[in-house]
Amino acid sequence: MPPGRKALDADEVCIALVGNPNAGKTTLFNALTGLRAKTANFPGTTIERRVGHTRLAEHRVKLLDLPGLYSLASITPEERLAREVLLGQQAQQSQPQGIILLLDATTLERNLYLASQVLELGLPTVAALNMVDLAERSSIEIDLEKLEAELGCPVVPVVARSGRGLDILRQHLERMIDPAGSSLARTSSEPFCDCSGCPYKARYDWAEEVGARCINGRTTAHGVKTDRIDAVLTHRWVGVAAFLSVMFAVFALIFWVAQYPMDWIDAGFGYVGSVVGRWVPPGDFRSLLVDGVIGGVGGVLVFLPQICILFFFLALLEDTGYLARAAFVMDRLMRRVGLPGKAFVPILSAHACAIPAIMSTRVIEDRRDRLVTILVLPLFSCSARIPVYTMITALLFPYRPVLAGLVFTGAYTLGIVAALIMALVFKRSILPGESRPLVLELPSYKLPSLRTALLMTLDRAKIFVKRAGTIILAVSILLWFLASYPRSEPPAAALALQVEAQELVSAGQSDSASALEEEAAQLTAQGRLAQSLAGRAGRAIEPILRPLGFDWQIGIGILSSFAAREVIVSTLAVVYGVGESAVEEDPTSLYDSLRASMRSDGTPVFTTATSVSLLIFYVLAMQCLSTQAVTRRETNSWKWPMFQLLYMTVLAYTVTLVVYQVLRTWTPG
Amino acid sequence: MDHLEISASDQAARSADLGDRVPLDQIEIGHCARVTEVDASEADVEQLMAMGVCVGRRIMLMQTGDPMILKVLGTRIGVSARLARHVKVQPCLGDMFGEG
Repeated sequence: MPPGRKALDADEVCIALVGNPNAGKTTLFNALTGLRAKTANFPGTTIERRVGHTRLAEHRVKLLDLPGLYSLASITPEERLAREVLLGQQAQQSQPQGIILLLDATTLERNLYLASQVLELGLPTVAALNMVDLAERSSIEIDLEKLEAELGCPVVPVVARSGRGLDILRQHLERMIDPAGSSLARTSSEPFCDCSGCPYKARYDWAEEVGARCINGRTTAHGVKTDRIDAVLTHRWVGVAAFLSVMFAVFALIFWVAQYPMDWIDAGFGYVGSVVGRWVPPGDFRSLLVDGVIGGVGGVLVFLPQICILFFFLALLEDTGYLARAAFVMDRLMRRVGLPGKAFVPILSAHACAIPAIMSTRVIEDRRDRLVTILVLPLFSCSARIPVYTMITALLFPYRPVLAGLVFTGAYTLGIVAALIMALVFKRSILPGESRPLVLELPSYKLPSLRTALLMTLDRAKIFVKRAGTIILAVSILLWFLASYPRSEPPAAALALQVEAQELVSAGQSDSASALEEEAAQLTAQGRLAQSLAGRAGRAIEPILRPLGFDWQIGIGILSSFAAREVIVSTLAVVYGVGESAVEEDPTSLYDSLRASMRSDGTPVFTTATSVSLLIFYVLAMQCLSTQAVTRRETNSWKWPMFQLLYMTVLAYTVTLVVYQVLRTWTPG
Repeated sequence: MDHLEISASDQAARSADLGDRVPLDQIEIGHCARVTEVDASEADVEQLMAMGVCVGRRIMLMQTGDPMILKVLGTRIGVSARLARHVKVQPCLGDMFGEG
């Protein structure tokens, strides 16, 4: 950071937003800061730190969104962190000059518990009493003047969702940070209650007393509607069926809606590639740009629509209050294998892509639970495997959609079963213990906010694109390098074809000439890949792969697909000499030529046994450097991504070996 | 942490209560009960206490099973049975609402 920028940051007034989970904190934060909020982690943690700016009449204020809390008692890492930030003990995060204390008017007494702890810190504070519209509808009447007197700070009624009361809140913030007006905000740090006994009891006694003095009518919303819906959605069996239906609907939408933008992105990158191909002279640089950079990054960015749609629906479901119910229902089932109920969100995401899934394990507070979840997530079939599954089903059952569908279902099921078994294995071995017992608020159902969902989607999309532009870009360039160097001369057969083509051109038969040239180009690409570092590596690992039914060409495919799994399709196209352009124009040409490819002894390469074993290998193997990078970031150590690579490779190898050896004996070639 | 073992000595709370102290999961659905004892020997129980399941509060069992659903201070909380066993309650008269 340049020194000038730092000075400006230090001058800026920073206000922290503190409140219970489900009190509408994200909605208020978004309403105050708009689109330009930045999401990152608190240094050295995986706790999200959201910072935005809001304009007051005379100041521009930095707003820091702290994680949702029930107390400041340092039980969870979030609470410890929030406490440190508010006390100014967090390195690289200056102490905020003021606090917006968010209170939910429909559950005021419970919110007052955190309020008493926050106010005792002695920082200038303004309380925002949110959801006053819902409170009014439930006949909860809160006497604001009495509440202000009890808390010793201004209380502003707001409706974060509609923006009601935000202007008044801004005026109070202005007065709070203005030294002349700071008398309005509570600055003493007298305790609210005698907390020498049970601290929880004393504070809640105080909260109930304040509630009794300040609230007329009901103290809390009765929530008859929520109770009725819950009778169905949290029911032991109906709840599970409802959850599966919701999950299926979200999935169907992801795959159905996303295919259009995915095609556009794919076409877009194809277009950019061809334009670059036209403008940059042929050679290594063009190959780097077209095959390495554009091809590699495009191959990952194509999943952006799926990720956006997934997070959009997850945000909507979370906002309605349904996600908490889903976690509640799933907890019963998933606890048996040592996974917490909350792991189902990451598992759902993992079927699109393991990267956002591992990012979303942050909803799981417990470290053991989180680690187990992260370790098994790449076993769920992500959408990068779809092109591979498509290719193999086409090899196994060409033109038989029902059987192909069964193969697909089988591959997905194998992934799920393997993940559950491995979770159980980890529970019994390296990560012993029960999953964290459930304590989860089930908030009242409400209509979701589209704005919140869209902002959340935008946020996740930004993180994903940034990742594609940095680490995935680097990985793509590395693999391109491995597949391109050292350079080798075109094989003699290719040179002969070129000479022949030249002769045809001079004879005026340009059509036949270009066909020959293409053939020569294919042979050259094939030879080049075979001689490259990746090709040599493929040969080097062939003895290990042979018992699985793979030859060195498939070995190159496996190695190259560490950039992205679907890369094996284009790699096989090159090594078996179909030509990459042919794959795009007519995929069946690839499948036909793969089916026809022979080993040097004249037996076909893709027998039933080899095809099935390749499928199983791709279901189970950890072949995604990007996922590894995310695991490293989320666990803060290289140990876990290494372990993930190791156990998945061993698992994939063993299962594939057994299946291939059994199938080879039982099926005809 | 040493103050958390609470005996049921809160006379004000006790006067309105009926019956014996029972584990949380043994009260009837829809009935109100007052918390008399919380054994915080397990760390996760503290999270439950921070959400309001602590001595003196009135709670209501909304759904049995594991996890179960409680209502405390107007909020529904899903709680695993393992944690609920650490909470002892005394059934009390009236429902949770209307009496401030």
